[in-house]
Amino acid sequence: MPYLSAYPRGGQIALLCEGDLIGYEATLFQKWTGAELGTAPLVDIWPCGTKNSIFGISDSIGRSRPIFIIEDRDFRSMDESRDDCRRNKNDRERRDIKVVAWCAWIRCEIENYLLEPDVLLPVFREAFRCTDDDIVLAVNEILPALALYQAAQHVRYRAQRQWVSTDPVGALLSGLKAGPSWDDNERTIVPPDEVAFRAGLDQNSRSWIEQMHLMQCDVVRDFDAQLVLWRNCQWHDASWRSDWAGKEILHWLRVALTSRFGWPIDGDPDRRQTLIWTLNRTRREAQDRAIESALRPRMIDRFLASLPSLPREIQDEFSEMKDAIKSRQV
Amino acid sequence: MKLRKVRIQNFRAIKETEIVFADALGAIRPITVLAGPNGSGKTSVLYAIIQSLRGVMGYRTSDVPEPEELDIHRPISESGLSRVPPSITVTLDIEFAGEERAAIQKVLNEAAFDEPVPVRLPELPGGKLRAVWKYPPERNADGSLKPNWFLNHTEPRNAIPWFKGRSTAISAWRDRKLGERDLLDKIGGICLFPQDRSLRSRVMGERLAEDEESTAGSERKSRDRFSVWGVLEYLSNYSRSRPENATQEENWEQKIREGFNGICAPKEYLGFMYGSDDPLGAPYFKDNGSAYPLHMAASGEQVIIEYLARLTYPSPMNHSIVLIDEPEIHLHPGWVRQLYRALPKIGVDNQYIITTHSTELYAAAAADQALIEMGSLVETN
Repeated sequence: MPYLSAYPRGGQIALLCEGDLIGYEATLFQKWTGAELGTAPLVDIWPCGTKNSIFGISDSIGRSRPIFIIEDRDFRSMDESRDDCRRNKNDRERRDIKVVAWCAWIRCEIENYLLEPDVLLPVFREAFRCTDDDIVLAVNEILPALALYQAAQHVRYRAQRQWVSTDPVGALLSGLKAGPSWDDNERTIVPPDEVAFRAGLDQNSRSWIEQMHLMQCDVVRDFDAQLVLWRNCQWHDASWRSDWAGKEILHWLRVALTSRFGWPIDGDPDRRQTLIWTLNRTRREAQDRAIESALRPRMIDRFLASLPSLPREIQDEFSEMKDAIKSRQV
Repeated sequence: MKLRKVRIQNFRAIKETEIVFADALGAIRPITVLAGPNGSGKTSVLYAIIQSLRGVMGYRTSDVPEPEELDIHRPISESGLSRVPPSITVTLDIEFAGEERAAIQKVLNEAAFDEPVPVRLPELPGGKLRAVWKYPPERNADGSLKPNWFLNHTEPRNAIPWFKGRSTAISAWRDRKLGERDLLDKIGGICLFPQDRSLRSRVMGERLAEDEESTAGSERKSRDRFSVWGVLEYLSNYSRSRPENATQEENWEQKIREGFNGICAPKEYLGFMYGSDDPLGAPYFKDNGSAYPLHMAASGEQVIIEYLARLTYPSPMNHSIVLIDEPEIHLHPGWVRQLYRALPKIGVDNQYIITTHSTELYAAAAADQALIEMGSLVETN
């Protein structure tokens, strides 16, 4: 696929987001700006990959046209992400970069919006030919098994924010298995070994704190506190939809449902086979990529169609983005 | 009517290819975009589909010339031109939805109630039908050639009447033989928007067009000679014949207006208007506070109005296969993007197959998993 950013780009406003050219953000914004704004103004979508790349690209194009930026909140609190965005915007504007708005999703990342029942259930029900109860059951099995991974990621982000500026993943989580695995015989998710993980985290953090000369840092206590909050999450709870990394939840849900209900062979809807997931991470992700790609446009379409009936804070978030972009019509 | 798969052998630029228009879950996509460099066979795919169905669908267009021997793909070898392959073969896997099948059966029964032999429709298990078209055509028992548009083979056998639903419905409605107008709206057809180098004449209706669906050959011939079916004529005819209290479904002008404004905003299509010095009237547009008639509109505006008018009126295209060859010609990238977004909302349940060189369309289709690359613009080795 040619690198589209290499072509001359139209658009009166550039919208910078994370993800790749055919990722969730780019697809969603392409459709949403087309439906809500049309060509007034014409918004050009720039998927930048990572948050760090957004900084670079905003610097490189922000003097030629106004830019609107949205980044993942990740595991920051709302106040923290707002402060970060305000600081980034002010910093760019001091250097004559035209920033329409610099904001972060109110949820952890774009995938979290697709976990809304009005989006998730109809798409997965049709794709996997199962019932809503099957999906809810799978979610309820996945959440406890994934809580440790989410708590570990939370701690990693907290450590980075509070004590160091670089990503401490290498130091804190090195050699530790935080993620669950899949048992193809039982067709069920297997949680990681919590005792082993906690012991490893304790050891890693001691060594890290010593090397970095950090006095006030207690990574394990943060981890324990977060795990207590999250370990019993179930379908009806709100926190996982908002604060966990939605990407991982969707991944394991696809694993569970293709293992139990199968996936079409060669695109033939009448021939399905259940998938094996006892694979290493690389192969598991490769197998999942094709499934995710097929579901992605359906989930985005469903999200946009459901937007008027989704929770008020999501509707408000999109209204505010629309108002901000329209306010800078050129 | 939907096209799930096409297999093309020895046609124009294509030696052999198979294109599936369904996604990984097996659902036929509302839009499929064929992208690739010049000469990769994008237009040939559209032409192959038209050539295969033009006879049985009662669809005629000068935009796709009658097939000829030069259409047979001829590979080149070290010693020069290879022997001409024996024939072009196009195999289409088509599906008719349940409601459409019921409508076709009803139309054929109603329209043919006074025919001596009732039309027989073979069962279509799952609504699936395979059709095979070959060129050169086969010979009859007396040695004469069958027509170019002869469909060589169907599975199940003798399934050609299934293709006759739409043309029969159109003529039956015209002849007041059809009880319900909505039967026509439930039956799909096929249409092609070619690479439009003669846009103005198509839109303004200066040419005697030959692209109307019809049934009987004699009727078709007379209409070809005397009718002008440019978009201007569509809109003019509707303006003159629209009922006072048109329902929302019947208000074609409103549909065209909504479609145009959705794609081209802030420009607007106002509708067909008459002035004291212009009793013939004209479609009018509005931009920046000024109004202007169709012939003064930008070519991009004319393209959009042509799509909307021809898909909307007088025989709305629903459940149909709509082929568009390089829609980006004449259009600003922003409008191309908007057109891609708007197409699924024009008509009901249509299947659009689009060829393109546009990076806007390429990106939009890639994000929708609706992109088929026919050759690459980038050399990778």
